[in-house]
Amino acid sequence: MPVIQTDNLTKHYGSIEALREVSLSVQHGEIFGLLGQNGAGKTTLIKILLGITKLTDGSARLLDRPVGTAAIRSRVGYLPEDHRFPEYHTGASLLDFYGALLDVPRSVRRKRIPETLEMVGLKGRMNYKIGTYSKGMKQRVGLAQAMFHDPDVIFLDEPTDGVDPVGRREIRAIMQHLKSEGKTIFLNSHLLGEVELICDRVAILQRGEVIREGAVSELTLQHNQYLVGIAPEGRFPREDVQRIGFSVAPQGDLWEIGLRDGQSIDPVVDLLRGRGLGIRHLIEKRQTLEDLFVETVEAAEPGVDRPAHRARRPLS
Amino acid sequence: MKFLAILKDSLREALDTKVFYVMVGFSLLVVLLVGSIGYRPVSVEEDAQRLTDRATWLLQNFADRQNLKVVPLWSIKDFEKTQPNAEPWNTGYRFALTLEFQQEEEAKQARAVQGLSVKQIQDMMRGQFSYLKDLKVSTLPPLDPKEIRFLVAAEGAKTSRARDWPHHPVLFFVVPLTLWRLPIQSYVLFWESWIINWVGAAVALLISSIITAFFIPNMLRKGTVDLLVVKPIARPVLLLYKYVGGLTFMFLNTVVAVVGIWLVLGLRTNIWGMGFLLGIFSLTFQFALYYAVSTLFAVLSRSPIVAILMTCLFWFVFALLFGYGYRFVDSTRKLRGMFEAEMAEAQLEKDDERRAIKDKVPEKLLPDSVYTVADAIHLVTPRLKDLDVVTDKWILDDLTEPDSPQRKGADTAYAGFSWTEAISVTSIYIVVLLALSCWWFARKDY
Ligand SMILES: Nc1ncnc2c1ncn2[C@@H]1O[C@H](COP(=O)(O)OP(=O)(O)OP(=O)(O)O)[C@@H](O)[C@H]1O
Ligand SMILES: [Mg+2]
Repeated sequence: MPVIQTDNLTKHYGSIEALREVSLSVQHGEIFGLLGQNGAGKTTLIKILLGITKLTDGSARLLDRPVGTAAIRSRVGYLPEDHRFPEYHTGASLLDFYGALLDVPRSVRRKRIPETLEMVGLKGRMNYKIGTYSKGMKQRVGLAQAMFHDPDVIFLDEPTDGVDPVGRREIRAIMQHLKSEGKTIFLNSHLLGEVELICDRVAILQRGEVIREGAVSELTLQHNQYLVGIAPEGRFPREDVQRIGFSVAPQGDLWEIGLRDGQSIDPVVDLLRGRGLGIRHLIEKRQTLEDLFVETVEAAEPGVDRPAHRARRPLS
Repeated sequence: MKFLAILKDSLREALDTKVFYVMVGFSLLVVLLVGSIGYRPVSVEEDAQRLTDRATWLLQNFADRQNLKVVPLWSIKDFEKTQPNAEPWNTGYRFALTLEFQQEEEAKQARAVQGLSVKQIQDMMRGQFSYLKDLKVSTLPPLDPKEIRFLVAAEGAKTSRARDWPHHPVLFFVVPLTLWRLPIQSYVLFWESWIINWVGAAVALLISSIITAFFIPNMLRKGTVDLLVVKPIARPVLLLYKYVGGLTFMFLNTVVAVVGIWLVLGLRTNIWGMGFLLGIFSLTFQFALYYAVSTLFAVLSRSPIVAILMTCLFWFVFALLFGYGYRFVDSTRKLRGMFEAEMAEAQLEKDDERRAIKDKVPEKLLPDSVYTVADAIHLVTPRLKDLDVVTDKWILDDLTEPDSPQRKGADTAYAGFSWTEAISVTSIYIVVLLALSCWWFARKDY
């Protein structure tokens, strides 16, 4: 049973169609990444799942209940994108306040507040007012409150926004840790390098529609492309490999071998081993998620490839 | 428990933004102001002294104009209390009033019309010492041929209670304001009824409305509201908790102000009327209505300014225009009756001229249709002023005699008052306003 399930989910804000027939499902224990350009509808989708915004059409279920059910929200954590935590709270009192609203018993709150803030690296400042926190520190408090009550599902809308590289790595580690505890994480992010590192599956949203969805490893795989490297003493027998029917192109110190459909890389390996050359690299070539994203988004919008046009395109 | 968490959160906000200190500080300031004024019983000796000084001064300054040739010097001699250690209202008084002339001859002439003088002097003394019982003036043999001497004696005071004895207010413990000489309960009435119940209530409600108007818009700010509505608590409940939280603040603050004023007044005057304390509930109830208006516009606009302005507008329309307007219209309903009552009071029924005027006075001031419209409007508008009638009645019951005109006025107003009507109409407003707020809040996308 999926943790999150949407079917033909549609949302209109007046004349703006923020989501159009979005069907997604996220399984238990997954880290799911939602990608898309500004205004694609990522935040809208999260808000609908959390009951902050009402859907126009279609259906959406969270933890096997229709969205908007108040009772299940104690099992959900949320870090919004443009959060504004009440500045009169300290990190600790904020967790205490939200914890109380989430039915966390007082004794548990008392124990978990320093623990959680320590996880996000804020323990030393937990009794300072949030008004005195830096941007990244506020983001960390946000993460802390999203996981404070030990929720089953955590929605993170651009969690690393404003966080320094070290902090981002820490946040990734926290997400990995949460995943290892069996939590489901729904992540919105523009930082594709990061998403690639951490997400199990992603969906790409374009103008409110899902245009690509799948496991990260599958989406970034470039079929029929290998990178081969041999021991430095030897010389790569380029012509010989071409002769047995493969395309070859240099790629730095390595060689990129192109296969035709149905072909296997094995003849190349046999040839190299037969010549007594030591194989040091053999990798199935992958695309970065960023390449995939840009490619997919542009493919979905033919005719808007020129940067000058793109800049002027209204975000809708 | 969630309610307490939200209340605690509001308290934290109020403390952090100094709103709480402003609110309580304002209340304490009023308490301090009321407490800084003491009341000193009027002393008969000083009063008598003042009277003779004034008489002498008047005679000296206006003698020429009145063509008076003789100008006696008035003075008080041999002043004594029949019970020297008793309080001023528990003793009798005797003293001599002397008129000293420059010539023996003048004194002799004045003594010749003495019969008249005794009566005049007695009337004058009774006017001055209206608080003394059975004041009598008689002549005494002069100790000096140039003087006329009277004995002024009173058995005691008309009252045996401190609260009915005239007092001077004393500013900041030292500056006596001798111009005022009222029974002490009149001062209490002044503070409780006119300042607190009328001016104070309006100001306090206004300030409280402004201060508490920030709570809900702050909660609804983008980026803050998201974090609250995702908690497992239904939106209407969240809003109602927040509303009740604001109300609790106002209630606590009213308690501080009212109990504080009640305490300092009680300590100052030893009058401990409970009616004033009941005003806490009337004030809180009125505020519940204003705050419901504020809540609705806060939810609609998410702007504290709009909430404040609309609350003020509501106050202006319902409390001022409709509230006082209706009271005025209502009072013109028995125009002739009022006129008759006044004539009866002044015992002018036999005055033909007045009777003629009376017959020309219309039964009512305004056409019937105006009263019908006014009644209809009154029936469906919240009863803010009605509640003032109740508070007034509670206060006056403690502080006035049953037959005093103020008390009678309050009783008449109270007789026309219906608890069920006032409470239910106002409550319906509160419920409807809150229901609208909750409905809007529940269906809105954030
Ligand atoms: N409250 C709202 N009222 C009207 N339109 C809205 C509202 N919220 C979002 N939209 C519109 O819906 C569309 C999707 O917005 P959304 O915030 O979901 O985008 P996003 O993918 O999160 O973008 P970003 O990456 O910039 O955060 C946008 O066109 C936006 O203008
Ligand atoms: Mg967004």
